[in-house]
Amino acid sequence: MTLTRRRLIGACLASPLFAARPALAADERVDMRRIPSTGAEIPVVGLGTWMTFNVGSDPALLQQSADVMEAFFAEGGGMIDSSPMYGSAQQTIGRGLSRIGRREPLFSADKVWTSSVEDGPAQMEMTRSHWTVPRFDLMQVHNLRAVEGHLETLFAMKDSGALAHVGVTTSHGRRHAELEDVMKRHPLDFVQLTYNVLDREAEDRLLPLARERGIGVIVNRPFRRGALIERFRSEPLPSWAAEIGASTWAQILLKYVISHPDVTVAIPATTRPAHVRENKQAARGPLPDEAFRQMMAADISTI
Amino acid sequence: MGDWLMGDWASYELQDFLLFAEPTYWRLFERLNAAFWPFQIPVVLVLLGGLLVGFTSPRMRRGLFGLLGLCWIGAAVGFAPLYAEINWAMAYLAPLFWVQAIGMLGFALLARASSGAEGTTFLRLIAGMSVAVAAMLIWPLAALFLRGSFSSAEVIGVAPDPAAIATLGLATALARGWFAAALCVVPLIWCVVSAVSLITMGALAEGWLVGAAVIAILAARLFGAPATAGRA
Repeated sequence: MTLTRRRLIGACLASPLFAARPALAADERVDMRRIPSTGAEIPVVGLGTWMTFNVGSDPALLQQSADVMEAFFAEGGGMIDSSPMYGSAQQTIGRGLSRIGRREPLFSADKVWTSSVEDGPAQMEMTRSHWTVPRFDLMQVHNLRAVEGHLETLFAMKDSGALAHVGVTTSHGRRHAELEDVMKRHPLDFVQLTYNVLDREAEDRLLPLARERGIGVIVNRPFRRGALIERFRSEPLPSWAAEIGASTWAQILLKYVISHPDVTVAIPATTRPAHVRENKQAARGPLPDEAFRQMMAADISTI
Repeated sequence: MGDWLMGDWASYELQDFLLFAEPTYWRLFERLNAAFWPFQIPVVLVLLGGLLVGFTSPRMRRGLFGLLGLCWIGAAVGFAPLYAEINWAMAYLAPLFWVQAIGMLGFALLARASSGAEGTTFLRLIAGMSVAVAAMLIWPLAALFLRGSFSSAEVIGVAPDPAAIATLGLATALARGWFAAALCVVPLIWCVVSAVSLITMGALAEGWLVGAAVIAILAARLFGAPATAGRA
């Protein structure tokens, strides 16, 4: 169609910048974040698969995982993160994708986990066949194992178009010094690390460094694999929970993580579709600002 | 290796080596039991009957060890492949089940009729038999009391823990010398692995149940050693 002035003005008015929107619709995009290296948007709440998706050939648990994925896609989808280290989780993902017949919106993230650099491509190919995807959106070097060699492989794959993003991972607060070094020397798209209301070490150097270097941050263990939720389960919700629209401890904990300005994606894992919805909901309501976050951390650390 | 050099090794807990959630583990037994049903009850009855007869007659005793050997094969063929799907370490442990089974079957078929429990002390006999009976009855019952249903019961014949514990009990009660000790190696290894795994995954009661059986057997061997000089 030809571009007329009327059409151009109409298009501008229709864009989010100019449209008058009802108050509820203002929440629409708060559940997305920009990937620093590309500017593309991604839902801030993703899905982890450590332990929850390692179910072997169990038909009931495979169905349960498929249900979790289906709920995840229905709620906006986003990053699903796995690894060869997670037992049969990769196959569970692939079977889930086939079972629910839906693959959008999916940002596929996995890891290369071998001390042998030469074995990396073969392992990644096996991973890809488990997922039944044509290529990965993100491939990460798991726990920085043989990181220099694998990064060389991954950047070459990215150059050739076989891979969209490159990253590295750590967890449990381990190897932060080495991670910082790798972040400074390589043009990574993502780093994955542990960050939650009680494990805040990343705030000191790594999160600011990620911002400075234009590296997206993926947060694992937002609940310390459920331990934090367990710990606070019997405690009454703090009085300030309603101010940030949190109706459960899980939402409080997740909102703390995703409200940090340098966090791109959090990847809580779960076996329940209801918890997927609850996690996704945490990203849609109000989020605490910096002062509120400090108050949250201080308050929660006394419980 | 890098984590050791960086001093991060202290941050590792047993939890970090557990790859699956507790419900996934008990589901293994639900599936096994569904596949094995209705053979659980006859198997337990035959073994209990064998226990009663076994300590009266050397030939029956050998037959009992043979039956238990078949239970190890059941664990190797039933439990091990399912568990290996979620725990890569099982692939390394499964051969031990076969070694144990072959050892016990070999004894059942080839041993001299008189080898066995002569000279076993009363304490070892009672403790060993009690532990063996517990393996066959308490372990399935534990599913009902600890997890609310028989569906995930660990039944001797396909489940490894009852086979291991029954073997420890029988080896203590009805055998002596180097053979009794040899029979206990694989079961002890498995019991330690199982107890640690169960406790790590959050099944504390089930884990300590295994631990209690092991402690009872070790105590019986220690305190029930024969009065005569020589091997325990």
